[in-house]
Amino acid sequence: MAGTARQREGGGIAYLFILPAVLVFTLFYLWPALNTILSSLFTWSILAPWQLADPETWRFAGLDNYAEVLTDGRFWNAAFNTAIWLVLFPILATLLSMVLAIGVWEVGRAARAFRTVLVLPMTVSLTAAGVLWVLVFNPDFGVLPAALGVFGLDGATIDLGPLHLRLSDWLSNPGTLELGFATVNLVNLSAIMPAIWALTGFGVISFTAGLTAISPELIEAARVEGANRFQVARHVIVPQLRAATIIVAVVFVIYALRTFDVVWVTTQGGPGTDSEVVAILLWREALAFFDSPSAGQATAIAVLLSAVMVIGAYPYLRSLLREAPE
Amino acid sequence: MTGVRRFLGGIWWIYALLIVFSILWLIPVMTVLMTAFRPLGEIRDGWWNLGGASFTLDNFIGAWTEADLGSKAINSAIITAFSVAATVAVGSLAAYAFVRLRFSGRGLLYFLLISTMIVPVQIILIPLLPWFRTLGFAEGTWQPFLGMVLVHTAFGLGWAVFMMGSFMAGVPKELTEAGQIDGAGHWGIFSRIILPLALPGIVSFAIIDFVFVWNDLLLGLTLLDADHAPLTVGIANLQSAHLAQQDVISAGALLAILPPLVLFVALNRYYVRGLFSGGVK
Amino acid sequence: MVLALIISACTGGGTESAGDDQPTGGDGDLSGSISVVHAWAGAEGEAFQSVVDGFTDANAGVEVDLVQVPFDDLNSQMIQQFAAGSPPDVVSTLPGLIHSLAAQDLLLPLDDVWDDWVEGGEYSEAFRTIASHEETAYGVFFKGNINGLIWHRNDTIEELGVSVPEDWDAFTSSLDEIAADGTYAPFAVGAADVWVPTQWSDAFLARTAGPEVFNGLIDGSVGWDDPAVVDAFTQLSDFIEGYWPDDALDVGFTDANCAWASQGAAVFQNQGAFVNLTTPANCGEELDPETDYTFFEMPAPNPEFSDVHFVSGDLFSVAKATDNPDAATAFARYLGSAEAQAIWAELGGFIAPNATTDPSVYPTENDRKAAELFTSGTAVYDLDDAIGGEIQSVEREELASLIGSGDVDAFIQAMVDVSERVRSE
Repeated sequence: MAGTARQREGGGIAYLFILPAVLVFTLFYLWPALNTILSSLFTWSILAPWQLADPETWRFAGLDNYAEVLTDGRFWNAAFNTAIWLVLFPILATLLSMVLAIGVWEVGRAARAFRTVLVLPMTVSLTAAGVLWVLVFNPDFGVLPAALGVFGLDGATIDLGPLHLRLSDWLSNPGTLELGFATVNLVNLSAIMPAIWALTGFGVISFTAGLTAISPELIEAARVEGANRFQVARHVIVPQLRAATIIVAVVFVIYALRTFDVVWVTTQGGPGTDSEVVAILLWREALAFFDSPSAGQATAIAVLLSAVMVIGAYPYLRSLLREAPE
Repeated sequence: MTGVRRFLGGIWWIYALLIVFSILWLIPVMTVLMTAFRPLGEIRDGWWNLGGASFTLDNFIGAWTEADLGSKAINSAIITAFSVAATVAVGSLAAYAFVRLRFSGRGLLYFLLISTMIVPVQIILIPLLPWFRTLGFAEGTWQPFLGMVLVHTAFGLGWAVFMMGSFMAGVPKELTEAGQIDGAGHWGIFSRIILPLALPGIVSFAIIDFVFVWNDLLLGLTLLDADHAPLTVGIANLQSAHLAQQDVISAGALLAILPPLVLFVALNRYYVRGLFSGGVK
Repeated sequence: MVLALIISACTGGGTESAGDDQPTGGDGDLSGSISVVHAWAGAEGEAFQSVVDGFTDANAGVEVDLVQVPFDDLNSQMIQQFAAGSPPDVVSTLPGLIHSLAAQDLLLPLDDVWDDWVEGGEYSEAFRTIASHEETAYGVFFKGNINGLIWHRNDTIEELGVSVPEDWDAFTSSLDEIAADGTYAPFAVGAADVWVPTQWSDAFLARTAGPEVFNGLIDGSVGWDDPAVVDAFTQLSDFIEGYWPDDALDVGFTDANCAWASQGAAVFQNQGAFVNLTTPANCGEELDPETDYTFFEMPAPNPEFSDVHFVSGDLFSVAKATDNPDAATAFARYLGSAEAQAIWAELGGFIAPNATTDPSVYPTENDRKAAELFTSGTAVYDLDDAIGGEIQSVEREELASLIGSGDVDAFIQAMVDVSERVRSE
């Protein structure tokens, strides 16, 4: 009687298995998410919150919150800083982790030690990573200014066309990059660097997994034809890592869009709003701006951010769904 | 190949690269170790000056008492332990259902769960404040912890189902069929066949979830008061005081880093395996 | 529930939620526990602890749980806790925060306490107004401070042959001399802490544009684009360009303070009276407030306003949701009393707002001078603390930008924009 047709049954027992998850998920994820979306259509302050059950708290604003957010210079400043993260972080982190992963793989036996060191920071919270790097940036005893000082470069300024780099004041003003239509505040880098340090390990692990899946014959074939190590890497290995690259890049993009912790402890979005990213502005709109009921704008930002992420990562989402256990 | 060619094409460049980056990677860790274990006055001109280096635990005492990091560490431990336990429990049951059972709404639920892996936590953050209040989670000794555990569980279910599900799917059908022939119901199959065999995957997930919950800042910052705040919030608060207390800050940061680090070193195998399954086939 | 049992066992060492005990009325019969949030750390934190000890010594049945939060985050963390419905019992506040919380009926009225005080001549009605929202008092004054004080080391100005300037022009020409000489920087500025630049902007506003314009900005009757306001900020911006150090934005208050005090890297520091305490405590015990350093008040750029003083103060409020209103109110009353304030006043760097405080408690000439200024002339209260919220946040950020760019028009425009947006809600 038992056959593959009976492998998946329906009925009561399934619901019992799924019930706790559905309960928790609905109460503590779906409902708040729905609440976020709905409340973004109202004007409210965190001290007098909008509640679905209590129409007295409703001050309908329609799409006003979205209009205000999308016309707010401060929002676009935050969006621009997030864009800087979007461009720099995934590219640098993916590239670096790929190079390091390939390097570790080539080395073979000694690989374990190197990989452990590279992956270690993944256990450190982004908060702690930020705190550690603030120490590294410290003008008195930070390694970075000291190392630059050895070459006499501490405090030097480098002007190369649109780039104006100041090798000091890492947490307030390390320089700017003029793009014509906007100015890139390089202080964002001071928050990006700890993130790269902390998260490259994920890329290293993912690429290593991808590397072990490459069939040795391909590499042998290339070697036989006289390719040296680097040529083999460039023309054989990298293309084989396409799947891993996509995953790593997407994960890093998702991180860049939602980054909060590391910016919070390094620059707090400052000086001023020079490194304020969307997640920080959102938090401020909800909790710090108590003189105006701007929680509706905070939730509007949350919805916009989520929409961007879902749309942007949609291909990844589809691939995850296709991998659904059948 | 000539000697030069062999050298240029050789492995030494790679070794050099790896050594350089390993050193770079260790610098922040060295910095915090030096700053935490030495008096601040000593390291003001650079912690690499080892002359007259002395060892002190004062900074830890300072961090523990002044910033009350001790009780915050306990808070983190409570929240993390219970969150991971709850997520594993609820998630493994759900994963089994997705893998082995049929029920209406399966596709939709799976889609929603997976979407949590992409969507940022901010989508639920702000309404949680008044929601906690309504549910009575905002005050009391244990209620805030319960609320946090439930939120972390809800947020971790997506990863839980995805990761543990893929391990469960890897259990050979013959074994579960054998169980059914023996008359075991789904609960029996789940507890006696699937769980033990998927255990490595479950442990991997548990470790990843541990690190994730232990390192959370936003949820702790927004939803918890000073009595229940986790260690990450304690450190963030220390940091923004701008009081040039880098020694205490370092000690605090070190305290925060240690548990996940120790876990990683001890269970390296499982951690890496878990990340493998989550990322790449 | 097993969860609850285990958790309560583990956190048994921590505080219990207030209200398990039954508080009774009357001093000395108070009991229970109260949580008190403040933003002082280091030496000031210890000073506050001494004040609190004075209360617990007299009220042995009450347990006070002190929680310190970073000053920069005080506003948002308090909002978060009040919004969550589990606020501390007594909390350090500023007028802007008081307005927002009181408007949502989250604070306990303290009119009884103030009635006694005004009657007893301990505080004037003017103070009561600052601590009130719509005619009801919701806060008590604890720590007074006066700002716009130009601190200097006696040996440095002697060495440079600089004397205390009588007016603005004398001041700027001294600064020019110092800048030209080059041995010392004219000023040490810790602008990495967001409140430091407001020490400057408020001083300029108060003594260039005057109290009416100043208070008008607070209540919204004067716009940020008013010519007097623009003029004040233009003067500030020029001053920054001429006399501020380049790394002002990278250095925090404590580091700047110590750079000025113990390393003698700069001649002057524009700071509040609390420097008298923080300097020896944080920078080196060998610095003596009596002999080594003192201050003169910043000369008024507009001589018409030379007796306008820019003061600030820390207030405390009681949460309406408190489980222990008797002990909490008693504590608040204690904080506003001369007795409590004398404890910190004796330690230095503290001005007691309570008028009945014995002037002999001030340990140094610096403190006495400051206290005198506090109660003389016309006082205006710290602008951004009085407004709070988004406008305060934006002003702090835009000041940081102004420091970097020198673009006064951009600053004014940003303030006009945010004002319009917030005040129109």
